[in-house]
Formats: sequence, C-alpha cells, structure tokens
Amino acid sequence: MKKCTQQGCPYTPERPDCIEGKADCPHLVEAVDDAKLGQTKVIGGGDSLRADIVAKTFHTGEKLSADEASTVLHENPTSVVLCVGATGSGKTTFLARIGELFREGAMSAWRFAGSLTLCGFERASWRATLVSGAIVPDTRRTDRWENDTFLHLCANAVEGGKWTSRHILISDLSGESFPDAVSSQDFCRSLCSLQRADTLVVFADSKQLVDTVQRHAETDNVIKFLQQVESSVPNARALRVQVVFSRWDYAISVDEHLVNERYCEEFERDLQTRFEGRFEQFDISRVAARPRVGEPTDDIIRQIFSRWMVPLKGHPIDPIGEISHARDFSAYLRP
Amino acid sequence: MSEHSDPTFLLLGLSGTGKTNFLVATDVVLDYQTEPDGLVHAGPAADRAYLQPLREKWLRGEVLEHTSRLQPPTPHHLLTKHPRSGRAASFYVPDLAGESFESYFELRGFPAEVSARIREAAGLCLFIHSDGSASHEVLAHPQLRELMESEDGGSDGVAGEQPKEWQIGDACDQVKLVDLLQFVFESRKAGQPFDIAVVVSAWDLVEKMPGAAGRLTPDEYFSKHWPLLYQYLKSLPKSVRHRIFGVSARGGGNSKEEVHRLTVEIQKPRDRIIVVDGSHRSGDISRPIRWMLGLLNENNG
Repeated sequence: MKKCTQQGCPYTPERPDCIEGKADCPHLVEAVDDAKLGQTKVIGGGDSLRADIVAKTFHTGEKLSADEASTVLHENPTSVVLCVGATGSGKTTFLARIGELFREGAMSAWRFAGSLTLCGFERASWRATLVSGAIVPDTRRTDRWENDTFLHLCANAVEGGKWTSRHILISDLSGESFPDAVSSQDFCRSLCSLQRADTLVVFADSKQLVDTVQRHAETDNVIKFLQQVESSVPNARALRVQVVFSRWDYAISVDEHLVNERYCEEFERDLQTRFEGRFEQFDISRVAARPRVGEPTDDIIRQIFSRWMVPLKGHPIDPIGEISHARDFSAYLRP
Repeated sequence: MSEHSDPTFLLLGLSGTGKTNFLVATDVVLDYQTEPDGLVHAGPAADRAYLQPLREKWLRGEVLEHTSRLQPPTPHHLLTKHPRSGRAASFYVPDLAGESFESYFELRGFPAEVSARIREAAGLCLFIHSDGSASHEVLAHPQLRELMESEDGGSDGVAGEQPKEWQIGDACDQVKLVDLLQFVFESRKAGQPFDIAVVVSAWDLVEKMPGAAGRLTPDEYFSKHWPLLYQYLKSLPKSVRHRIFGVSARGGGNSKEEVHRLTVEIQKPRDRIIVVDGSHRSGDISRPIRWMLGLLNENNG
C-alpha cells in the first residue's frame, strides 16, 4: 500500500489526487511489513505510522520549512542565502557540489560540523552518482513547493586562533518561479527567504548567454530581478548580492569562445555600473559546478561559500536565544 | 535503567562492518588475555546461546555469517574488568544486525530501549569497514566527455536509461553514520561526557595496500577516506572524545591459504588479532574499551 510523505496530502489509492493538484501524487512511498518489528513501517516518511515503533524521532534529513529554519536562526549564529535563477541555470547543481565538497573533505578552510538536511544534499547529488544508474550527471529540478525551504549546514573555521562555528540556511528558488520573481513585487514580498536573506545569489546561465537568440532575455531577467529586489526588500541595501555566471564551461568550450567571453564581460560591466554601491556587497563569479569539459571550478565555489559565512554589517547576529523578528522568518510569513 | 552502576558502552555500525567478528574476538581475548594491562571477563554472560557457536566458528577460522535482522540475536552484555584498577565496564550490544542501524536512519528514530541505552551510555564503538565506501562515486566528467558531447547531454538530459529515484536508504554510508551520531547527541543531555572509539575493521586489508596507502595510521586512513565523519567528530565539543583504532578481529582473509595461516601457523587464536592505535600495535582487542574507560593516555597509552 502506498502513502504520501507530504503533510496534509489527501492521497488515497482510491482518490489519487495530491495536495499539489497533480493527478498522480509524486511523493508516494511504499508501506511495507517489517518482519522484525511485526508492524507496518514507512520507508521514507510517514510520521504517524512510525510513531508507534520508534520511541524518539529526529529531524527528517530533508529541507527545512521556514518554521523549522526559524528555530535554527534563534539558536545559532546563522547566515541565510537565497539562490535564484531560471530553470536549468545550475542552482541545485551548485548546491549539490557544495555538499560533495564537504563529503570529500575538500572545503578547505571550513570543517563540517553537522547538518539537519543531509538527505536533502544527498538527493541533490543523487543523479550525478554512479550508483543512481545515471549515464551522465544530471540534477533533479527544484519544485515550486520547495520555495522557502532550506538546506542547513554547520561548519567550523579558525577565527582569531580558535575554532568557531557558523550555521547556514540555503534556499533554492524553483526555476519555474523565477519569471514570477522577475515580474511581480508581490511575489518577491511573499518569499520569506528573499526578505530575510543575508546573501542573494543570482544565477545567469552561460548556456543562454552564449545563445545569440536567448542572451538578451537572460541578461534582462537578471537586471529586472535585481531591480525588483531593490523595490520589494526593505533592507535591500544591506544585502550581499552575488551574480554567478553558471555553467561557464558553455561559454569557453566553443570555437567562438572569445566572442562569448567578450559578451559576458560587457554584461558584467553593465551589472557593475547598475548595481555596484546599491547593495552592501556586489560581486560576480564564473562557475562550472559540473562542467562538460575541464574541472569543476571548486576554488571559486569555495570562495563563494566562504563569503556566505561571513556576517554582514547590516545583518548583525543577535546573541544566541534572543528572539527577534528581524532574524527569523516569522515576520515575513504570510498567513 | 541499567542494572549495573559500571559504565556501559554501545556498539554501532552499518551492515558488514565487522561487529560480530569484533564481539566474538573480544569474548575470546577476555578469556585468554596476555596483555598485562588488558581487560578480562568480569563474569559470564547470562545467555551465551548466540555467542558460543560463533566463537567456535571463529576459533576454527570460519567466516562468520552476516547477522540477519530477521532472526536477531538477543541483546548481549560483555562484562569486563581491569584487574589492576578493579574498574569494570559493561559492553552492551543491543542488536548486531547492521540493517537495524540502517532502519533507525531510515525511520529517523530509535526504539525505546536503544534510546534509553544511548542516554545512559558512557561511549560507543563505531564500526566502519576498511573496504567500505564512505560516499557514492560522482560520475567523473573526463571519462564521459565524449559521450556527453556526442549526445549534447549534461543537465539538459540525455538519451539512455533513467536513473532510479532517490530513496532514503540510498544515502551514502558516512551520511548515515553522521546522522545516526546526530541522533545520539540529540538524545543525550548537552555537555555530557561521551567517548567514541572508531573501529576501522579488516585493518589487515589497509596494511596490504601498496605504497604509502599501506603505511597510513588509523587516524590518517579515517581522515582521508571518511572526511565528513572525521570532520564531524573533530567538531564535537571537548566533552566528546574520539579515537581511531585499526582492528582486524579475524586477522586475515577468507582464502584457503589465509585460513591455514590463521589456524595452523598461528598457534594461539588470540595472536591472530591485530589492533593498531597510532604507533601502538598489539593483539589486545580490549584496547578500545580500555581507552573509553580512561585507562589509556591520550597518546598511545
């Protein structure tokens, strides 16, 4: 018998419509008889069913809701990062690569110190692993319902001669929602991850930038989105904004790569002219997290991650335990 | 809830990580201890119905079967004592089947009894296998470059078989172990002292690796091959100590020649065992427990 792992989903075998309005619920798991326990257990979720066989349950390992993420914000010095970009621009692949670098012990200055969402990171990397049965690396698309959900990491680094730990919450806006974010202030205002973000990472897809037909819409969307941010986020000036030219291997792997690079450089200059000084920090990077040719740009990914972990002047970290609506997500959640 | 006032230690490890061999070899060594400072049996276990046949198999050099979760052994207590100091400890093995630990990961929780034991325990032995893979191998691009270029694949998709959907059981081993340890610390009061003895089993395989790989200390091996877990342990507060031990509880492989070497060439069964702790090397498999009891110094004891 199948059950849905989504809270509140009315799925039943007789009535297969799901909470997301899909005809076939995509979050079904098998409920199987467990020989040892002699009771029914659910593989992959199902709090109510497992409650009777497990005395104490812990975090699910999947992305955190805004409420769960607020708890992290209250209890620890935490940075909030939102990654935004069009469908297929490489946001999830970038985050998957961060998870992989930690798993490989290759995050240089940062030492892994825990995560409530290890399963979320595993899921993000899954289609790039041999064991998944994939022939070439791929990344699962982020669904709309995952907007305002968060991956979590805790990492340590040496500061002033001693190890200090920082937490980070990373949200990845569904590519399907990017047009809404570009075109609607209301939508931007409804995103608690955007309203609360310390760092905003905007992905400009190099594959689109080198496409002579698509490139103008791609650049325009990045500019329009940043303008929306300025008008819809009250403390936008305190934001750290990073524009990432993602899938950079597409820009440099073709014969006319010099032309492409020149176009990208022009776009960089345009962005700097428009937005430098408008945010607390503004920088641009070129990243290939899972390139078709060459090596992943791991050094740049590490640099970007390191910047996320540095607290901003405009976003002071409150003393631990002090509840402030400016820190958690509750002030931005709409009923 | 413990019936003993002596410290209790637990055992945690996924499938095929050498827990049964470790338990049986420890049971033997506690009876035939030659290390002047080693531990011995403090008393007989109440029920040896599971352990005794395995002990006979181990002594004959036979391969111990994988512990099935469908016919789990009853929980064990190994009661140990340190003759010189008079200190005693209880080594509690709730369930030897690695699948049980995997199910705790998948169900995101512990059964009541395990939960209670974790709250009371002074430490645990965490098992990994030297032959095991900590993470799933990521598809490396250089080998795939031609295929991807020819099919214009990458993240835009490519013709071919669909990868299977991720299920929670597909998480890699070091993620499972880190999460299980996070569960352990969520179960316990913050700041409570706790010791973790990481046992890298089948250490003889590491020593047979060619070149520098075969000369790694257990700590070096662990940091290189299990970096996420290693870093997680390093990041824990000072109240949580950890130490890495290379252990070959069986002493060698399963080939006919190896079994002959183990059973005929090595006169005393306890001499098969290899325990490496930094630069220290012996056959005293009680060493990880001695360390958790505070009977070794922080270097090489």
